[in-house]
Amino acid sequence: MATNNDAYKQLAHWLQHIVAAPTGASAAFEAEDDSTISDSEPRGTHLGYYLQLPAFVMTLLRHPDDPHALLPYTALLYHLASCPDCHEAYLDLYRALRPTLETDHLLPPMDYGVRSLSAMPAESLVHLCQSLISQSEAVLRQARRDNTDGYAQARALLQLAMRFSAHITQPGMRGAALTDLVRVATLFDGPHSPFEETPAAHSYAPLVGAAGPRHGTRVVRGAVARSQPAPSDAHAIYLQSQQLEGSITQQGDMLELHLHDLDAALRGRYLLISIPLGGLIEPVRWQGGDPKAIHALAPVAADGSLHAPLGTTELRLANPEERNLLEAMFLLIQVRPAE
Amino acid sequence: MPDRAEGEDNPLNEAVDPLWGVPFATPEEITLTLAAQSELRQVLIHCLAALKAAPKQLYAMIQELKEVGADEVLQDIVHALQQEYLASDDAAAIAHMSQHKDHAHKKLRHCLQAQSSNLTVRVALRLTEYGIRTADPAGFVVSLSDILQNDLSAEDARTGLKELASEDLLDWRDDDVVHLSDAQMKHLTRFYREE
Repeated sequence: MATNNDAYKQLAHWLQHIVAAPTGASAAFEAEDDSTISDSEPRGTHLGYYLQLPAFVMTLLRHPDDPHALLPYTALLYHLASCPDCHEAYLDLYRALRPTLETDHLLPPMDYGVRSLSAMPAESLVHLCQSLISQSEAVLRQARRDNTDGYAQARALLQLAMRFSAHITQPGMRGAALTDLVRVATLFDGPHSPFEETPAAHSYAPLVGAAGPRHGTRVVRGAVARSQPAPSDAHAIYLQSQQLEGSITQQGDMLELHLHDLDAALRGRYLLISIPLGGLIEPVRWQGGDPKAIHALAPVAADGSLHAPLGTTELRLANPEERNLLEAMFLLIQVRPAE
Repeated sequence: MPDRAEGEDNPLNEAVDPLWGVPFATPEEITLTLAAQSELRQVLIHCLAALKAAPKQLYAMIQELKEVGADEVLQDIVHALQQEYLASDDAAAIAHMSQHKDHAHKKLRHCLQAQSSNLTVRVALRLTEYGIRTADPAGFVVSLSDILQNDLSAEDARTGLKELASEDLLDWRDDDVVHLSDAQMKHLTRFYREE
């Protein structure tokens, strides 16, 4: 069909008029059918559209010239044309995802003139991370319902959330961005080895600034203060498990776990260390190859301390963004007796 | 987003924000894509056709499209809608045109943003693509597994099929095979497969 551009523009203009918010209610009028369409439908259900945004943006970035790829998103496109809030969220997400994918070498570099991630408001990044994690959960649950494999897509979304969060400088905001990360990443995880069937002796989490410990324990003021380390020991991730403390430091490429004051029952015993999020992103070559079953090379010392190499990486704790990414990976560390 | 429109000059090229390079940077660019891309237009056609239950509203929308000069792109489908769903005396009988328009706008706004519309169109498209002619019963048959693809789950496909069945566009009772009569396939091809 030969159609000139003006015709498309006129139809587009009419579509804009149709999807725009109504300016006023109709006068009392009996419609010719008994349908009742409220203006709050579906405009009130933004969450459903919002959850589609990450997949939509990924589709645009990965298949920019494929018109078929847009077909599943027509309802979303109509909504974006009518909803300034969701459209703004879409623009933020696109501008954030583009440089992230370039960093990962998944897209060619492009001078797109958009704000860099670090220039984005922390609130927006928090929002994006939460949205990505929520989307990942939706993908996993849908895949489980459909008996399909949604793991790769869900994993990609969680990876993006971790990478975005690494650009949030305020520790409390970073903690908020990743609130649900561990829960979603381990949503349908079963035990991966006989060892994991044994309850963990201790579960450690990083002290993310004022957010404090993550597992229902009270904030230990001294410990929180230690999470803002002095320059001499700034290159560490501080950990807490109830009243126990620990840290992760780096010697060259090697990441090392240090735990203190482990209970008497564990002293003299070898421990198995599990890092459930260690396989989500792959910048670390884990000791033994499996981040969920790292065997400590030495037993717990008589004073209750344990020093265990975890694996090597080119990431540096001295680099703030790389440190934040590692911190996200260590959101949960479990230890249990190895024998 | 190149090559998404018919015609030698792609109007979408003019719509991309030169500063940001972000597709769909403005609502205008979004609606232009929805208007210019034939596959995406199918949802609009579906939603216009869904007004068949209220012929005065359908008539009001066709009139409005003509008034604003937006009917050229949809010429064939407007003709088909008039032929199929409107009686010749509808025009004379219509009073309260503005109210009919308001009501039709609400329905279209709802339908265009509904995921079920999208699913219905995608399933209808697949039926027209994968239909295999059969002699007994005469018509076409499509296996449910042919409709499913990476971007269309079983649940989505069933939602689309139920919607098409509820509109009497096919006979389907939650089977693994969809049967279509010649007339049903002709109708789907006419309204869901713009050439």
